[in-house]
Amino acid sequence: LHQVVPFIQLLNTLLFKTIKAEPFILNDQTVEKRAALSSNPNHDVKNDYYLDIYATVTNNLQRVVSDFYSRWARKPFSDPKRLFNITETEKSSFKSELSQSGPAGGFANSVLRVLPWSITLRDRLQFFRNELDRERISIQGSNDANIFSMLGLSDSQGFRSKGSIITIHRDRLLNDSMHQLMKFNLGQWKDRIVVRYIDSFGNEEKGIDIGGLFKDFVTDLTSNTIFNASFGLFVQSDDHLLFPNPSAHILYGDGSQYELENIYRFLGRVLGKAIYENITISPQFTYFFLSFMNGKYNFMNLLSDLRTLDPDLYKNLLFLKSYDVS
Amino acid sequence: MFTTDKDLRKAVPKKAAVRSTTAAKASDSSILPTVQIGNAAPKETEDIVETAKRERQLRQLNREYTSFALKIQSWWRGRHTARVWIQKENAAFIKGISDIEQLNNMMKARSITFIPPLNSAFNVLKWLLYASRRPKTNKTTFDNLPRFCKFVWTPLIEVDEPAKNILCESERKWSGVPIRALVLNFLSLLFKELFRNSELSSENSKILLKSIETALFPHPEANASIKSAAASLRSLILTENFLVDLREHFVSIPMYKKIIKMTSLEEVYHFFPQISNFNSACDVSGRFKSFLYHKSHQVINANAVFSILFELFTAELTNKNDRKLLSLFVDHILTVPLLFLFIQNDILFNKLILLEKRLDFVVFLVKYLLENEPQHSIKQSSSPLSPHAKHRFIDSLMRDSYDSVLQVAKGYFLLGNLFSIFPRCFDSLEGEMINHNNVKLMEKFRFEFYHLYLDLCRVILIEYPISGILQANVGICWKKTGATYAAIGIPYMLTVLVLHIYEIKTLEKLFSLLFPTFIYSNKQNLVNWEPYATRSEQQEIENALEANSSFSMIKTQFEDTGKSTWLFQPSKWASKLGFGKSSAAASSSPAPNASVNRPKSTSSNSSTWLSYLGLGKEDNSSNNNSAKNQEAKGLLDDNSTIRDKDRSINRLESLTSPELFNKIVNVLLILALNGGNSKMDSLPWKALSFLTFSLPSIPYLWLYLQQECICSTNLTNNISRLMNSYQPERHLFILNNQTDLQQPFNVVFLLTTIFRLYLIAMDDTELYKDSVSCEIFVCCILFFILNIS
Repeated sequence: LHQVVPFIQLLNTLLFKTIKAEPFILNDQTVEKRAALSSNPNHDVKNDYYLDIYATVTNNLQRVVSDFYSRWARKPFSDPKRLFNITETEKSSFKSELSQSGPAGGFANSVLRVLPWSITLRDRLQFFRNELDRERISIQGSNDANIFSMLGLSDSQGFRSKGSIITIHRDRLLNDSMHQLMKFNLGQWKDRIVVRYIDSFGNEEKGIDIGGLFKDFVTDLTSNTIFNASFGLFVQSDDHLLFPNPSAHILYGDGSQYELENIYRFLGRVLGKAIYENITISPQFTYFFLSFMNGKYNFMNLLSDLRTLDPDLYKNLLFLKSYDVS
Repeated sequence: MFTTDKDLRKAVPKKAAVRSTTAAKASDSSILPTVQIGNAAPKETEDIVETAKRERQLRQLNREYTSFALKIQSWWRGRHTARVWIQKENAAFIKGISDIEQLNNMMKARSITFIPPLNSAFNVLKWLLYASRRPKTNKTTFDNLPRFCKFVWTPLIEVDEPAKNILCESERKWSGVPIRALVLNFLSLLFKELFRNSELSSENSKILLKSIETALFPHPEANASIKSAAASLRSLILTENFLVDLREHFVSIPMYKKIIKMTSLEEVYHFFPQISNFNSACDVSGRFKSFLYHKSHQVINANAVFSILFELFTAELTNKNDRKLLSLFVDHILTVPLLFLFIQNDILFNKLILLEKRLDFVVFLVKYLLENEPQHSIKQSSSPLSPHAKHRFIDSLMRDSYDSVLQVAKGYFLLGNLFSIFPRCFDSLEGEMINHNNVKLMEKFRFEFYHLYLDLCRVILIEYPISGILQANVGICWKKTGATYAAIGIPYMLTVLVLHIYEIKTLEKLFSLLFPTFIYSNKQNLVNWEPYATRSEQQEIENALEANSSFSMIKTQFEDTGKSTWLFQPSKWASKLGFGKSSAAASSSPAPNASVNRPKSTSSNSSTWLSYLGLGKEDNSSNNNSAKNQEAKGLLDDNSTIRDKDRSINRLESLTSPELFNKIVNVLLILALNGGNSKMDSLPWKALSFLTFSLPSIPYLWLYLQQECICSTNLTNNISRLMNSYQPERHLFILNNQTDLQQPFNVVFLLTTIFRLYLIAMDDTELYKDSVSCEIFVCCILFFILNIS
């Protein structure tokens, strides 16, 4: 293990230096831009090819360090400051750039995307929360005048937005909400959503939504409806972690996959909205499902994450791997 | 009736009457009206002016007619005279040759060698050269060219007396014309005639070829002044103008016209896949001949001329090491479109790339490619023309002149020509590498083959990435350059070649080369691994080593190290260790005799080439040193052991040189990177998997890296030093053969690329337990080995 540690240190440092020298090396837009440029006959294709190779090398570096970080996250094997941290000088430059230009800054953005482990989870969460709050309040407004100065916004947007109103029957929570919310565009999703409940007798419930009713709606929708195992959209692993039900199409398909996809798409938007509004929801997902959502849907993580899906299969596979035939 | 004498006299009209008379004549001829002068009316005056103008025009016309008639007559008389003169001169030429032939026959009957007088010979030669410059030459003149060569030219250049030899007289002038110019022009004429005249019989071709050969390469026992004159002639004939002229004739012959057009035909797309099968015993040019010109003798001529040119260049290069000459040869001859389709297999492979004799020429070609990397490569056209567009283009090309294709495609055809011979070079090089397993052949192995092989791999993999190759699965790629299209070499050949590099056997061979270099480079610092293995672990490793036959072999060899002899032994251990499974069979064979003499295949020719190319300098210098030692100490038997040791050291140093290591790592890195980018189950991906799981890549590379970082005290600090030395802006080092501080990062990147795949199958348990012991295991093997020593 004492050899793995310097190896990770070395890779992490190389990766960080590479990102510092070429912040957009792994940026998809840069690749597309290069591809567009390559159609120009005067463009230096040779240099593009070198850059492609360089991007491949950097990508490999990133994946290996990322995998080590995942393994460390599962079971820490050394001090993370020793393994994945960057120097204090680099960290201060990163933070200063982040405070000046926000996520639009090339270097800070690339560090967060390519080697997020070099920043502590607390710092990353704080940055993430700040960015979301800044955007949310600039769109939705706030009744609290102090918060504008805290987030560095002008108070000209001090009036709270009226938002979009949705009417939900208590007994048709999923259908009503999906029917109305799926028509929303991105701006409406980011704006306030005001919920009006209709009780089982068809009467509108009294109450003004200044945030509480919507929070109640999201909690009800996620905890009691969608993520409830009896609802059939998700199932629980042995660790009581959730992942999508492979047989859900039988329950919700009614012959077309489209309906089920719509439900999952709606669910994703609700989860996004919950994160955007900083609403805590109760369900916890399995690691492999989180990996898929995180974009790590290649088989780099499959074997280790198989443990959360089927521990027996995982053990048997490992036994098969290490079994000495002789 | 005439009554008086006055009546008989000619009447002399008065002045005023003269006009009247002229006017009367004009009136008679009904051309001009009657002119009245004096008190004529104004209207009549205008008529007179008009009439005068017309008369003047008529006279001018008459003068022009006369002039034209004179010119026509003059031209015709000139033509007639010229024709008569040409016929007369031609008859004199034929008569002169016939006379010389008769004299020759007569003298031959008396067993006397007849040498034609120089004056007569020059007269005939002058006429030949004059006739060759005429656009329409009398056919009989060139029909007599072989006779001229046989009875006039050849005796004049074969004669051993410098006073009678035409080559030795080239410094002088004849009738104000330098003889050297006459000789050069005549040689040029012979080359052109060989190219141009497709109806030349094989017997006449041989005569012409012999004339060229005798002039350029005199008999070894010839007079020294004749040899010197031939050498100066050789250097003169390799001038740029000569080659340009020759190239124009080469590509303007009717056969080439047809072939250039053929390259745009659809049939070629079916044809090239056939010839790409270079592994089987296929006769490329034979197929091509049967495909196109089975009745033509042209291929024979092309072979002969190319053969002479090649000899010419190699002879000059041996003498002078003139880089410009070789560049000219490449620029003007090797860019001839589809050249190697015209050269017969035996000529091509025996003359050009035969390993023992001519591989150095291929070395030059590789270096030429490396130094002059093609501006356009297949990766630019990774999306080739669609079939529909291709056919449309072919249709349009068929209507256009082939010249545009030729002019644009010069660089491409050079690439195509080079790559059409590279597969065979590749096979030959790999054959040498396989033979390296044979200990006896190891004695005569030249390590520059490794470098050449790796350079070749690298340049091909960089210029022609696998993704582009697989997409452009056609015989010929067409690349748009400006308003025209150009053919890009013969990519199908290249496709086969690139795929060949990805084959497992090649990978295994490449990787096996790493092992000796690794051992050699790590032997100094491996003592520092002691803290990483406990005593019990060492004991386990020792037990494992004892149980493993291959490691016991290592142990044996390193025990020899303790006696300070293993480095000097013939490379039994290296051949076994370095070349994997197949070498295991040779483990029981006895050690080769150290006194086996190294064959003298590294001739002066090749050494000159190599020093010129910058390759194998160490080897050459060591050879020279060895030769000097040999010379100094004589050929005594006592010294043979020392010489053998020297050779063994040289071999080992060649095998373990950092340059070789760097090249292997670079090629493996490019292979691995291509594998990482390709689809699963594709050939590059399989190659990468093989590199990861079937070869012990990770321990070797990691240990090498540690060796680079390590010093006697602190591992971490040195890793930090390595990190600090990293300069991302110099990322292009991946593609270069630099040997500076950036080289360890190539190893890091290769290691990372392999590790990425390795991590998929590695579970956490291995990371915490097995992987640790795995690393320590390998380290301690070496530690253990060194302890033994």
